[in-house]
Amino acid sequence: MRIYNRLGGAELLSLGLLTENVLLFFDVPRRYFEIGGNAAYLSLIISALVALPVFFIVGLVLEKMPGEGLPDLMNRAFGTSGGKAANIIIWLHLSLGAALTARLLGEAIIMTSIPEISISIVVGGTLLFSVYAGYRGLNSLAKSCYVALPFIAAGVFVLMAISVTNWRSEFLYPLLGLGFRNTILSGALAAGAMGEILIIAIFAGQAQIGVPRLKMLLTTLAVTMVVQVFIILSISMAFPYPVARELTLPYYMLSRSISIGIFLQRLESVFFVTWALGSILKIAVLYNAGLFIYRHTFSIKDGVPLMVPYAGLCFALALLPDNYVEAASISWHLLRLRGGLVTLALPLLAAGLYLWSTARKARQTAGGPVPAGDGER
Amino acid sequence: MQWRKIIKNLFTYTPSAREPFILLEGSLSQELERESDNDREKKPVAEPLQTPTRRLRKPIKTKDLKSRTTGEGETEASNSGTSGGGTDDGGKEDGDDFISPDLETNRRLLAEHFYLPQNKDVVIRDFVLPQDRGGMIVYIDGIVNSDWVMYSILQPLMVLSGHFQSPSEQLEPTSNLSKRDFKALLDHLLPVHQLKMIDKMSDAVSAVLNGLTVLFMDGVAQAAVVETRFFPNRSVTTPMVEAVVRGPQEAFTESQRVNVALIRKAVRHRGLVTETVDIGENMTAMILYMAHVANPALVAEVKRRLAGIRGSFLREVGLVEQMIEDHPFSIYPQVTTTERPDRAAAMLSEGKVVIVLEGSPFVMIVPTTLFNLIKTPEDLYMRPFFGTFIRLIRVFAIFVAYLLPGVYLAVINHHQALIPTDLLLAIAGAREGVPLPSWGEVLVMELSFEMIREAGIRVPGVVGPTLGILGAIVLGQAAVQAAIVSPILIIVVAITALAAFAVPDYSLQFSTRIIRFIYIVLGWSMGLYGIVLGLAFQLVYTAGLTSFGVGYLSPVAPATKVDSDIVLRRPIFSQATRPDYLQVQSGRRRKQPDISRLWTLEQTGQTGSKEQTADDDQESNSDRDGDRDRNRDRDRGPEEES
Repeated sequence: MRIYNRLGGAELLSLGLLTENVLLFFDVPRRYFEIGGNAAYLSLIISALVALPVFFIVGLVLEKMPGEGLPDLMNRAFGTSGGKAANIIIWLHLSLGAALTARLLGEAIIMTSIPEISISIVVGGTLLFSVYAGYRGLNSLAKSCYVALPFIAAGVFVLMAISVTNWRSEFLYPLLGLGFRNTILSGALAAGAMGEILIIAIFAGQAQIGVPRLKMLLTTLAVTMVVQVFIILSISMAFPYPVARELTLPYYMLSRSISIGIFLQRLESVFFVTWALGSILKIAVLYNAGLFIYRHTFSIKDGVPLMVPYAGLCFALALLPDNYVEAASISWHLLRLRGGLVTLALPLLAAGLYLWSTARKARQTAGGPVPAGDGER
Repeated sequence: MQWRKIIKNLFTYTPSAREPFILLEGSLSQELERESDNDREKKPVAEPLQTPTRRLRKPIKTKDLKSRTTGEGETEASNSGTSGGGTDDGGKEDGDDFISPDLETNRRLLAEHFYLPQNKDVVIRDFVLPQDRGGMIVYIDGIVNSDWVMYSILQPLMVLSGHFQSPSEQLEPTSNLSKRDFKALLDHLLPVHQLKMIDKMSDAVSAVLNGLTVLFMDGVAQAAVVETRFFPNRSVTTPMVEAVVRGPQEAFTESQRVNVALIRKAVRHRGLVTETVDIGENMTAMILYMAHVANPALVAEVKRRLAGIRGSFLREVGLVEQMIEDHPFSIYPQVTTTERPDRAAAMLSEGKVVIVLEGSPFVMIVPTTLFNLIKTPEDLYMRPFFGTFIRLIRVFAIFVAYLLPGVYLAVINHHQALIPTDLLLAIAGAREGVPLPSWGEVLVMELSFEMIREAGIRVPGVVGPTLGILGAIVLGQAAVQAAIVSPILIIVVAITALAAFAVPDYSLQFSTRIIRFIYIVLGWSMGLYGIVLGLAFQLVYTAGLTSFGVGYLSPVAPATKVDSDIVLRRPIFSQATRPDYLQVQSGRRRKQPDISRLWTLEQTGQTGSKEQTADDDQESNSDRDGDRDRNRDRDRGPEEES
């Protein structure tokens, strides 16, 4: 990147919040309804609680590595080759995330507002923006996210506030949805849905010295949980469960269900602006995170020559699924559910290894007993 | 390409171009304080002057740039020729540039410089002292005060010098007069308020061009520069571009000295420092800043950029602005220009730097942010609620000015569902007979409006506004009746135009007018998605801009801790802290009511605050002590700190 100044705490936080929460505009609420029934919001809370210790440990480790981020942690924990392999896995995850989100956005735009537009135009335009944002630098992108976030949040909260008239509390019953066990278990298994908060850990090395990474991670997780619970509760109360679990774009449908008086009957296009802006920025963040990890892995100083080819790769990946349903399914199952292995398990393993190796070195330095079998890694 | 040649000729340093030393307007006395005879004697022997072409190719070093400024102890460098001293024959040895003791030689050199005798307004007036020693004064008729020349220079020398006894020797024409005695003679005889001795002919030429009178005496290898400037000036009038209902009704004029005086009048603080920097050819910029507030790194950067300018005609802030801004190809203005002394004063007190040029009724203020450009001084003069309301209207107007035609096209082409059915039918009915497609309608009307606006400005006198009204009403009405455009489009274009006029900064207005066309294309082609994509591009672009290292969206992004005056205006007594994105020296951290509303404390029986507020300097010093760590980091530059 050409301009790569240090990020402030607010910018870093906004990157994480935007990246994690934008998929709620697509099919994620529906997935939670599938796994949690009426108690989808409870499943979401369980997911967040499962993700909490992971981010706590990763944040704790990153606090001990000022000026370094997740890619550096991978290198330290798994060694040079192992670290590169781990970073490549994360890179693949991010690339696929950027591509699928672009595809989802494109399909959603075609479905909801501009049927005549070509999917390649939307995906291409979005990735073009990502390239431009990458060229302007992470700092510019982070500032943009920070500026856009209040508008997007305002859009969400206004929609929620307007939709209050449609809420019916009986739609929440039964409170435990598909059963206590299912709610807990499926919620825990869906913890990977919180994985994109890891963006903060990835860019932690780009933050100013003194920015509390642990606090950033936990704050993002907490805010995400509150916002998502709020949205899912709203959708739960606006639509009966059988309808809610079939909605392709629940947020859009919620915006479509409201009307103010006789004059303003179709407000979804107004809210379209907020979620489309958020999605475009999220794709750019994922794209730049992928580019950043790739550069870090292969020690490439200048990322500008990589930008267009990488965007081309994302473009190709985005066009692989046949339709919205397939793209959404891949996004949920591969990136969210199983993606937890990349976004939660791998960082947790790296953080654990790092802590263990640090403790072992500390014992060696202090002259204490070294446990048997602790050879050089 | 022809235009490239033109630009190159305008701003490129050619061998025929000169870069003379410029006498610093209004600062002769300051220089006299700094300069002493001893320093002058220490001056090294003049080195051979490089040809201008070679100097152009040589990279400019920071040291060289510094020498062009007139900061403390830097005048000597300027005088010794680093700032110019160039002559017409650039290859001349620097020794040829020195003033000769022979009056005739000096006369010949002046004639060469000023193309005499063809040049009719350059006056060389000979005189003879009572002791028969000859002398001459040189000035340009029309830009000097002839009364001062007559009564402050000629009369004392020709009449009174007969009574003057030189400290060491008589003023006899047979012997050379020492520089010391020459100075003593002038000090005793000339009742002028500014006087400076110079050694070089290029300095003399430059002084004459700047309206000063240069005095040569036979037998003295030195000349005296006497302050006699009297440029024809426009008087101070009311602001034309930044008019306000409440607040001062004074505007800057084309005179640099008057403009500085107007700022001095508004900021009566000893911390206000005025420095001069040579820019381009024979041009001096004055920079003003609050010495105890402004970030030294910012001041140094402003001076460095100004000193690095090369150009032959930089008489307007718009020209210099393009030479010093961070992103010269950006569509956004990165410098605030104002014609209001109160606005300049307010920004000075925030810690910004003001640049004043001779010949421009506007001053530049750096650094600037987007939020500076949407504020007017009147916001502060009104009650907080009124100011906040007006600002919110202005922000809304900016969005309308950018987006309305594009959104209109997006809605009627791609998102008809957004429009209520009755309105949609009405719009469809109105557009029924219109032959142009919707985008054609919008483009025709927008371009027509831009033409009307441009014509309204260019048409002289009272006809301009009349033409604007005629164009808007008659053309619009006729276009609707002729079914060329639909009535709703007239409403859209009119609202957009009004919204653009609500943008207070003229340069920002321009940017909205141009960017609007991009949104028109995006809205027409891709609907609201195109609009959103455009917004995202614009957001990232704007977020990446800087003005003298300060983020363009500061203090919002990067988010800084202290600035209570962004869009929502809080009461003035709660705006004690200066914007910290400027990394000012004395950021007050305590609550303003302790300072500005002392009576509230007196009512509650609290004491002790008077001491806090009595001496602003003490406060600054204590703040400075408290912020010592920040000062250390500040040297790294504003952006790094952010």
